[in-house]
Amino acid sequence: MRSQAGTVATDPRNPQVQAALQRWLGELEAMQQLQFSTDPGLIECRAAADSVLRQVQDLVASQKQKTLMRAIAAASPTEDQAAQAGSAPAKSCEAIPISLAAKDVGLLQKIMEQQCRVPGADDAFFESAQDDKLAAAAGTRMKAGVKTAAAGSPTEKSQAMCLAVFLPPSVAGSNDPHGPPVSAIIGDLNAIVFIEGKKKPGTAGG
Amino acid sequence: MPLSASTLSGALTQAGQAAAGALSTAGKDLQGAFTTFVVPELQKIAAQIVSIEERTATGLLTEDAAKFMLAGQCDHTQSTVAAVSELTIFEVQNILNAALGAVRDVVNGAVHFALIP
Repeated sequence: MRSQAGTVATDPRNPQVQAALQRWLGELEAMQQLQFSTDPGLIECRAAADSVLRQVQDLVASQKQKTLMRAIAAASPTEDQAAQAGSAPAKSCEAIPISLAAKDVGLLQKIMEQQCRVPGADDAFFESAQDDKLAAAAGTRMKAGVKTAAAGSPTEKSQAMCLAVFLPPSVAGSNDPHGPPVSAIIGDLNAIVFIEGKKKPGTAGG
Repeated sequence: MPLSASTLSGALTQAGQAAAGALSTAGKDLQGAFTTFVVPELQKIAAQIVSIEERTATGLLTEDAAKFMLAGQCDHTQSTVAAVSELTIFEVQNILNAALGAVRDVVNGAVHFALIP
Protein backbone atom coordinates (compact mmCIF):
# COMPACT_ATOMS: atom_id res chain seq x y z
CA MET A 1 0.00 0.00 0.00
CA ARG A 2 2.77 2.44 0.91
CA SER A 3 4.56 1.96 -2.44
CA GLN A 4 1.40 3.07 -4.23
CA ALA A 5 0.25 5.72 -1.76
CA GLY A 6 -0.89 8.85 -3.53
CA THR A 7 -1.48 7.15 -6.88
CA VAL A 8 -4.88 6.18 -8.29
CA ALA A 9 -4.33 2.75 -6.70
CA THR A 10 -5.13 4.29 -3.30
CA ASP A 11 -7.63 6.90 -4.45
CA PRO A 12 -10.89 6.26 -2.56
CA ARG A 13 -12.81 6.67 -5.81
CA ASN A 14 -10.97 3.73 -7.37
CA PRO A 15 -13.49 0.89 -7.74
CA GLN A 16 -10.90 -1.61 -6.50
CA VAL A 17 -10.37 0.40 -3.28
CA GLN A 18 -14.12 0.68 -2.79
CA ALA A 19 -14.56 -3.04 -3.41
CA ALA A 20 -11.87 -3.91 -0.86
CA LEU A 21 -13.45 -1.72 1.84
CA GLN A 22 -16.91 -3.08 1.08
CA ARG A 23 -15.57 -6.63 1.26
CA TRP A 24 -14.11 -5.96 4.72
CA LEU A 25 -17.41 -4.49 5.89
CA GLY A 26 -19.25 -7.49 4.45
CA GLU A 27 -16.99 -9.89 6.29
CA LEU A 28 -17.44 -7.95 9.53
CA GLU A 29 -21.20 -8.04 9.00
CA ALA A 30 -21.05 -11.83 8.66
CA MET A 31 -18.93 -12.08 11.83
CA GLN A 32 -21.39 -9.84 13.65
CA GLN A 33 -24.33 -12.02 12.64
CA LEU A 34 -22.48 -15.14 13.75
CA GLN A 35 -21.51 -13.52 17.05
CA PHE A 36 -25.09 -12.62 17.87
CA SER A 37 -26.42 -16.01 16.80
CA THR A 38 -24.05 -17.73 19.23
CA ASP A 39 -24.31 -15.06 21.95
CA PRO A 40 -23.17 -16.67 25.19
CA GLY A 41 -24.77 -13.78 27.12
CA LEU A 42 -21.91 -13.67 29.58
CA ILE A 43 -21.73 -9.91 29.95
CA GLU A 44 -24.58 -7.43 30.30
CA CYS A 45 -23.73 -4.62 27.96
CA ARG A 46 -26.71 -3.34 26.06
CA ALA A 47 -25.68 0.21 26.97
CA ALA A 48 -22.14 -0.38 25.75
CA ALA A 49 -23.46 -1.66 22.43
CA ASP A 50 -25.71 1.40 22.15
CA SER A 51 -22.73 3.67 22.70
CA VAL A 52 -20.71 1.98 19.97
CA LEU A 53 -23.69 1.95 17.61
CA ARG A 54 -24.16 5.68 18.03
CA GLN A 55 -20.55 6.19 17.01
CA VAL A 56 -20.87 3.89 14.02
CA GLN A 57 -24.08 5.64 12.99
CA ASP A 58 -22.15 8.86 12.42
CA LEU A 59 -20.04 7.09 9.88
CA VAL A 60 -22.78 5.41 7.94
CA ALA A 61 -22.26 6.22 4.32
CA SER A 62 -22.40 3.09 2.29
CA GLN A 63 -25.22 0.62 1.83
CA LYS A 64 -23.07 -2.09 3.42
CA GLN A 65 -22.66 -0.02 6.55
CA LYS A 66 -26.41 0.63 6.66
CA THR A 67 -26.99 -3.10 6.33
CA LEU A 68 -24.51 -3.73 9.12
CA MET A 69 -26.29 -1.20 11.32
CA ARG A 70 -29.66 -2.83 10.73
CA ALA A 71 -28.22 -6.25 11.47
CA ILE A 72 -26.73 -5.06 14.75
CA ALA A 73 -29.92 -3.27 15.73
CA ALA A 74 -32.06 -6.29 14.86
CA ALA A 75 -29.77 -8.64 16.71
CA SER A 76 -29.67 -6.54 19.86
CA PRO A 77 -33.18 -5.35 20.65
CA THR A 78 -33.97 -3.52 23.87
CA GLU A 79 -35.74 -5.50 26.56
CA ASP A 80 -39.07 -3.89 25.58
CA GLN A 81 -38.55 -4.67 21.91
CA ALA A 82 -37.50 -8.20 22.75
CA ALA A 83 -40.56 -8.70 24.95
CA GLN A 84 -42.82 -7.54 22.13
CA ALA A 85 -41.07 -9.85 19.70
CA GLY A 86 -41.10 -12.72 22.17
CA SER A 87 -37.31 -13.10 22.15
CA ALA A 88 -34.51 -12.58 24.64
CA PRO A 89 -32.42 -9.39 24.42
CA ALA A 90 -28.82 -9.81 23.35
CA LYS A 91 -26.53 -9.15 26.29
CA SER A 92 -23.10 -9.96 24.98
CA CYS A 93 -20.16 -7.58 24.96
CA GLU A 94 -18.12 -9.95 22.85
CA ALA A 95 -19.43 -8.37 19.65
CA ILE A 96 -18.17 -4.89 20.48
CA PRO A 97 -14.69 -5.30 18.95
CA ILE A 98 -16.43 -6.31 15.71
CA SER A 99 -18.51 -3.12 15.85
CA LEU A 100 -15.33 -1.12 16.54
CA ALA A 101 -13.61 -2.80 13.59
CA ALA A 102 -16.52 -1.77 11.34
CA LYS A 103 -16.27 1.76 12.69
CA ASP A 104 -12.54 1.82 12.02
CA VAL A 105 -12.96 0.60 8.44
CA GLY A 106 -15.40 3.53 8.05
CA LEU A 107 -12.77 5.85 9.55
CA LEU A 108 -10.12 4.58 7.14
CA GLN A 109 -12.50 5.26 4.26
CA LYS A 110 -13.10 8.81 5.50
CA ILE A 111 -9.40 9.46 6.08
CA MET A 112 -8.55 8.25 2.58
CA GLU A 113 -11.25 10.58 1.22
CA GLN A 114 -9.41 13.44 2.91
CA GLN A 115 -5.85 12.41 2.17
CA CYS A 116 -5.62 10.15 -0.86
CA ARG A 117 -7.57 11.78 -3.70
CA VAL A 118 -5.26 12.18 -6.68
CA PRO A 119 -5.37 15.73 -8.00
CA GLY A 120 -6.13 15.98 -11.68
CA ALA A 121 -8.19 12.79 -11.69
CA ASP A 122 -11.86 13.72 -11.57
CA ASP A 123 -14.72 11.39 -10.74
CA ALA A 124 -15.33 10.76 -14.45
CA PHE A 125 -11.81 9.33 -14.73
CA PHE A 126 -12.72 6.54 -12.32
CA GLU A 127 -16.17 6.00 -13.76
CA SER A 128 -14.86 5.57 -17.28
CA ALA A 129 -11.49 3.95 -16.64
CA GLN A 130 -11.10 0.26 -17.31
CA ASP A 131 -9.03 -1.95 -15.02
CA ASP A 132 -6.01 -1.91 -17.35
CA LYS A 133 -6.04 1.89 -17.52
CA LEU A 134 -6.26 2.13 -13.73
CA ALA A 135 -3.45 -0.38 -13.36
CA ALA A 136 -1.29 1.64 -15.74
CA ALA A 137 -2.10 4.88 -13.91
CA ALA A 138 -1.39 3.24 -10.56
CA GLY A 139 2.14 2.61 -11.81
CA THR A 140 2.58 6.30 -12.53
CA ARG A 141 4.87 7.61 -9.85
CA MET A 142 5.60 11.28 -9.58
CA LYS A 143 8.57 12.19 -11.73
CA ALA A 144 11.33 14.23 -10.12
CA GLY A 145 10.67 17.92 -10.44
CA VAL A 146 7.07 17.48 -11.55
CA LYS A 147 4.89 19.53 -9.23
CA THR A 148 1.68 19.70 -11.25
CA ALA A 149 -0.46 16.65 -11.73
CA ALA A 150 -1.67 15.54 -15.11
CA ALA A 151 -4.88 13.53 -15.10
CA GLY A 152 -4.42 10.54 -12.88
CA SER A 153 -0.87 11.30 -11.78
CA PRO A 154 0.13 12.33 -8.27
CA THR A 155 2.02 15.37 -7.07
CA GLU A 156 4.75 15.44 -4.47
CA LYS A 157 2.28 16.75 -1.89
CA SER A 158 -0.54 14.34 -2.77
CA GLN A 159 1.83 11.40 -2.32
CA ALA A 160 3.10 12.74 1.01
CA MET A 161 -0.47 13.35 2.22
CA CYS A 162 -1.55 9.80 1.43
CA LEU A 163 1.63 8.35 2.91
CA ALA A 164 0.82 10.21 6.14
CA VAL A 165 -2.13 7.81 6.51
CA PHE A 166 -0.05 4.66 6.25
CA LEU A 167 3.24 5.63 7.88
CA PRO A 168 3.60 5.22 11.66
CA PRO A 169 4.19 8.32 13.80
CA SER A 170 7.85 9.25 13.49
CA VAL A 171 8.27 10.41 17.05
CA ALA A 172 9.93 8.92 20.11
CA GLY A 173 7.62 6.64 22.02
CA SER A 174 6.00 5.12 18.97
CA ASN A 175 7.03 1.62 17.93
CA ASP A 176 3.96 0.91 15.82
CA PRO A 177 4.82 -0.46 12.37
CA HIS A 178 1.64 0.93 10.75
CA GLY A 179 -0.22 4.18 10.42
CA PRO A 180 -2.94 4.76 13.02
CA PRO A 181 -5.97 3.86 10.86
CA VAL A 182 -4.47 0.50 9.90
CA SER A 183 -3.23 -0.16 13.44
CA ALA A 184 -6.72 0.49 14.78
CA ILE A 185 -8.22 -2.15 12.50
CA ILE A 186 -5.45 -4.64 13.29
CA GLY A 187 -5.98 -3.98 17.00
CA ASP A 188 -9.70 -4.67 16.67
CA LEU A 189 -9.03 -7.90 14.77
CA ASN A 190 -6.50 -9.00 17.40
CA ALA A 191 -9.09 -8.29 20.09
CA ILE A 192 -11.66 -10.41 18.23
CA VAL A 193 -9.19 -13.29 17.88
CA PHE A 194 -8.19 -12.99 21.55
CA ILE A 195 -11.81 -13.03 22.74
CA GLU A 196 -12.61 -16.01 20.53
CA GLY A 197 -9.58 -17.78 21.99
CA LYS A 198 -10.79 -17.11 25.53
CA LYS A 199 -14.10 -18.81 24.76
CA LYS A 200 -12.45 -22.11 23.93
CA PRO A 201 -11.78 -24.26 27.00
CA GLY A 202 -8.12 -24.99 27.61
CA THR A 203 -6.73 -22.24 25.36
CA ALA A 204 -4.47 -19.39 26.42
CA GLY A 205 -5.94 -16.23 27.89
CA GLY A 206 -8.75 -17.70 29.58
CA MET B 1 5.66 25.75 21.37
CA PRO B 2 5.69 22.22 19.87
CA LEU B 3 4.19 19.43 21.91
CA SER B 4 6.47 16.94 23.62
CA ALA B 5 5.51 13.26 23.55
CA SER B 6 7.03 12.59 26.96
CA THR B 7 5.31 15.58 28.61
CA LEU B 8 1.99 14.67 27.03
CA SER B 9 2.40 11.04 27.99
CA GLY B 10 3.06 12.06 31.60
CA ALA B 11 -0.04 14.25 31.73
CA LEU B 12 -2.23 11.59 30.12
CA THR B 13 -0.94 8.96 32.55
CA GLN B 14 -1.44 11.15 35.62
CA ALA B 15 -5.05 11.99 34.71
CA GLY B 16 -5.79 8.41 33.61
CA GLN B 17 -4.39 7.04 36.86
CA ALA B 18 -6.64 9.33 38.88
CA ALA B 19 -9.63 8.15 36.84
CA ALA B 20 -8.66 4.49 37.31
CA GLY B 21 -8.40 5.12 41.05
CA ALA B 22 -11.84 6.75 41.13
CA LEU B 23 -13.35 3.84 39.18
CA SER B 24 -11.80 1.23 41.45
CA THR B 25 -14.01 -0.41 44.04
CA ALA B 26 -13.35 -2.68 46.99
CA GLY B 27 -14.00 -5.65 44.73
CA LYS B 28 -12.10 -4.43 41.71
CA ASP B 29 -8.83 -2.49 41.80
CA LEU B 30 -8.08 -1.07 38.36
CA GLN B 31 -4.64 0.36 39.16
CA GLY B 32 -2.70 -2.77 38.21
CA ALA B 33 -4.46 -3.18 34.88
CA PHE B 34 -4.06 0.54 34.24
CA THR B 35 -0.28 0.38 34.68
CA THR B 36 0.15 -2.81 32.68
CA PHE B 37 -2.25 -2.25 29.81
CA VAL B 38 -3.41 1.37 29.60
CA VAL B 39 -0.14 3.28 30.16
CA PRO B 40 1.56 1.82 27.05
CA GLU B 41 -1.52 2.78 25.01
CA LEU B 42 -1.48 6.32 26.43
CA GLN B 43 2.16 6.59 25.32
CA LYS B 44 1.07 5.65 21.79
CA ILE B 45 -1.70 8.25 21.92
CA ALA B 46 0.81 10.89 23.02
CA ALA B 47 3.09 9.97 20.11
CA GLN B 48 0.14 10.06 17.77
CA ILE B 49 -0.90 13.55 18.92
CA VAL B 50 2.64 14.88 18.43
CA SER B 51 2.74 13.32 14.96
CA ILE B 52 -0.63 14.88 14.13
CA GLU B 53 0.65 18.28 15.24
CA GLU B 54 3.70 17.95 12.97
CA ARG B 55 1.74 16.73 9.98
CA THR B 56 -1.07 19.28 10.22
CA ALA B 57 1.47 22.09 10.65
CA THR B 58 3.12 21.11 7.37
CA GLY B 59 -0.20 20.68 5.58
CA LEU B 60 0.21 16.92 5.19
CA LEU B 61 -2.86 16.13 7.25
CA THR B 62 -6.27 17.76 7.05
CA GLU B 63 -8.08 18.67 10.28
CA ASP B 64 -10.81 16.11 9.63
CA ALA B 65 -8.33 13.34 8.88
CA ALA B 66 -6.45 14.23 12.07
CA LYS B 67 -9.65 13.91 14.12
CA PHE B 68 -10.44 10.56 12.48
CA MET B 69 -6.92 9.34 13.21
CA LEU B 70 -7.13 10.19 16.90
CA ALA B 71 -10.57 8.56 17.07
CA GLY B 72 -9.13 5.42 15.48
CA GLN B 73 -6.27 5.38 17.97
CA CYS B 74 -8.75 5.62 20.86
CA ASP B 75 -10.84 2.77 19.40
CA HIS B 76 -7.68 0.71 19.12
CA THR B 77 -6.95 1.37 22.79
CA GLN B 78 -10.48 0.49 23.87
CA SER B 79 -10.73 -2.81 22.02
CA THR B 80 -7.17 -3.89 22.80
CA VAL B 81 -7.24 -3.11 26.52
CA ALA B 82 -10.75 -4.49 27.02
CA ALA B 83 -9.76 -7.71 25.25
CA VAL B 84 -6.59 -8.43 27.20
CA SER B 85 -7.39 -7.07 30.65
CA GLU B 86 -10.18 -7.18 33.19
CA LEU B 87 -11.12 -3.60 32.31
CA THR B 88 -14.42 -3.17 30.49
CA ILE B 89 -14.95 -0.99 27.43
CA PHE B 90 -16.78 1.49 29.68
CA GLU B 91 -13.91 1.70 32.14
CA VAL B 92 -11.37 2.20 29.36
CA GLN B 93 -13.60 4.87 27.80
CA ASN B 94 -13.89 6.71 31.10
CA ILE B 95 -10.14 6.58 31.71
CA LEU B 96 -9.43 7.78 28.16
CA ASN B 97 -11.93 10.62 28.44
CA ALA B 98 -10.34 11.78 31.69
CA ALA B 99 -6.83 11.53 30.25
CA LEU B 100 -7.66 13.37 27.04
CA GLY B 101 -9.68 15.97 28.95
CA ALA B 102 -6.61 16.83 30.98
CA VAL B 103 -4.57 17.74 27.88
CA ARG B 104 -7.39 19.13 25.73
CA ASP B 105 -6.53 22.83 26.07
CA VAL B 106 -2.80 22.34 25.56
CA VAL B 107 -3.26 20.08 22.54
CA ASN B 108 -6.01 22.09 20.86
CA GLY B 109 -3.99 25.25 21.41
CA ALA B 110 -0.92 23.70 19.82
CA VAL B 111 -2.69 22.35 16.72
CA HIS B 112 -4.94 25.44 16.40
CA PHE B 113 -8.16 23.43 16.02
CA ALA B 114 -10.35 21.24 18.23
CA LEU B 115 -8.51 17.95 17.81
CA ILE B 116 -9.85 16.80 21.18
CA PRO B 117 -13.56 17.71 21.37
